[in-house]
Amino acid sequence: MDSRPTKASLHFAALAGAAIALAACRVQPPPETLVEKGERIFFNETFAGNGRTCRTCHRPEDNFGLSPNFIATLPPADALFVAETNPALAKNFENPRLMREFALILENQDGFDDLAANFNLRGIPHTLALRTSVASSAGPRTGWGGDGAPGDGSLRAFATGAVIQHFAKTLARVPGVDFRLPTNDELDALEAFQFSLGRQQDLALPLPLVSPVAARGQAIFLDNTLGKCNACHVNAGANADPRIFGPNAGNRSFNTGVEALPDQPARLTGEPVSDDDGFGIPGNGEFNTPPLVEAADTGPFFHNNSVATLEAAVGFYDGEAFNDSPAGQLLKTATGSGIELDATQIAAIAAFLRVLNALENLREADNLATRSIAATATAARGTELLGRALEELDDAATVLRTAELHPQSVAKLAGVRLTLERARKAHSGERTRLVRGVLAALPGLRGEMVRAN
Amino acid sequence: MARTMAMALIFAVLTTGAYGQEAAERYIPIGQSPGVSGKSSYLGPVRNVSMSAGTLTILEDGVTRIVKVTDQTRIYQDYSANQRSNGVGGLGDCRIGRTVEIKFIDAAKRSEAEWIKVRMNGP
Repeated sequence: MDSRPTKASLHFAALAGAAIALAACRVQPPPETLVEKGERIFFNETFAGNGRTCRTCHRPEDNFGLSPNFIATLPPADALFVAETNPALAKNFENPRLMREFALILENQDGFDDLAANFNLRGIPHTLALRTSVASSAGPRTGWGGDGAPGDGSLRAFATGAVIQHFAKTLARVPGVDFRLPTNDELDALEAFQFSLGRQQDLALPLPLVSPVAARGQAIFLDNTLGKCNACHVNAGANADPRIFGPNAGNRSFNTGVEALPDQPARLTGEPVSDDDGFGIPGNGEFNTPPLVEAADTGPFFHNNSVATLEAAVGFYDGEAFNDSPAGQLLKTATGSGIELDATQIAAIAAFLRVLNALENLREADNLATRSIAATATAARGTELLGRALEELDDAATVLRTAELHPQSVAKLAGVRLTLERARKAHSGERTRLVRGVLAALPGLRGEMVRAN
Repeated sequence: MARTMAMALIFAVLTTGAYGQEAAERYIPIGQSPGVSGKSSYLGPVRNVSMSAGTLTILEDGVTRIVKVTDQTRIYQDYSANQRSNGVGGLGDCRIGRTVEIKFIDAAKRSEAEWIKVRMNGP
């Protein structure tokens, strides 16, 4: 028998060898980072529960929070509305009307013994800039009450509490039946992802703002005899002023009297709304301090979404509810007076916060657009990042336009947005070119709001 | 002004109450509390109980400890192994021989319980 290779078998061997070589040379996608793993879990993992994910309430399209306007765009089958579709969750899991009208979510921070009577209805805090806002010398502060996490109270542990509260198939809340608890690896990844969102450090105020109204608002904000805002929101963040509260004070809780506000929207509906006692079991009436840089595009405001506009939120501190509150009285004792602001001053502070928000939008748009160029693994990833960058530009335009701030910049933003939209739809080479054009334009837009040092 | 403000506000911070982050803790099975289990809690059998003194006794690393249970201590009945809903219990559930997990108010002193989980389906 002739054992010499035939021409056909040699040809086959050559082809097979080439295929093996090609497979060996194929570029493998880089391994998933901890942040990427956390993002995948945050966006997609239901933990074998009722279908919700972290993203259900913390939408990247809505600045990792959730507003009534956004809820109105969701289809009826969205997992957010699980109380309307799952009979086992029809009672005492959510209040669908208040969720749809005011983006209020039902929570049982004081325990699960009497679900019909013992609940709170709270807005959904965004998860931006957590790197700057969770730490406190009194322990980590998570959620509106500051006590949102079980276990060690950390942001890492927060996801476990969220799954138990919001992901359950039934109110029996049996692990392994109604949901599964996140693993330690998943908690690590979720924490890393959440810490990666938004600002990674606080600002250093004052900024050389161009708008005289915003600049005046900044001055009032920083004035401990007038606005007094900086005492608890140092540098417009979430932390207390170390000159007042001591070094490493970090995030603090205060009873500012929001619960005492008259005519709160949710209460006007006649739906059952409990008095929210805030931090602790039973609560002490305190809620932790949110960052303000991200405020203008993350309303409604306060733990119960009781105020819809930024100007009204600033105006709250001029009212009786705040000035009669424990925090207001403390401020009065310390400074000799409460907070007394006129309409122009309230508008100026809000204008300042709007400009800060727009600057943060530009910073984040820059970050996302830059990452889209680096996201070579899949075009879809780049498209997604550019979509989020577009939303940042839209938010910047909206927060400025709403208060007639920087109209020229708003007009230019529209042009930059068009380029970014084209980039999102373009193929790789053209996309990169267009994105680089956007990145080159962003510093100019920033320069129209804050002078270069 | 700033000094007065500082003193008043620091006082307020110092008088802030202890934290209570355990509402959802009830449903976390024994030994799975994130950041606590395997790190700072006690997990093991109850050696003795004194209802009158409001204490339970544990043996930890060869050391007998008497742990104070106060009105603020939350005691959870853990039925998770039976796939039943966990409940709220009392010191009476902490019977000798039953497995408990204890989170201490002060993890170093280990003298007062913040919460106790009791495995209800056996020792």
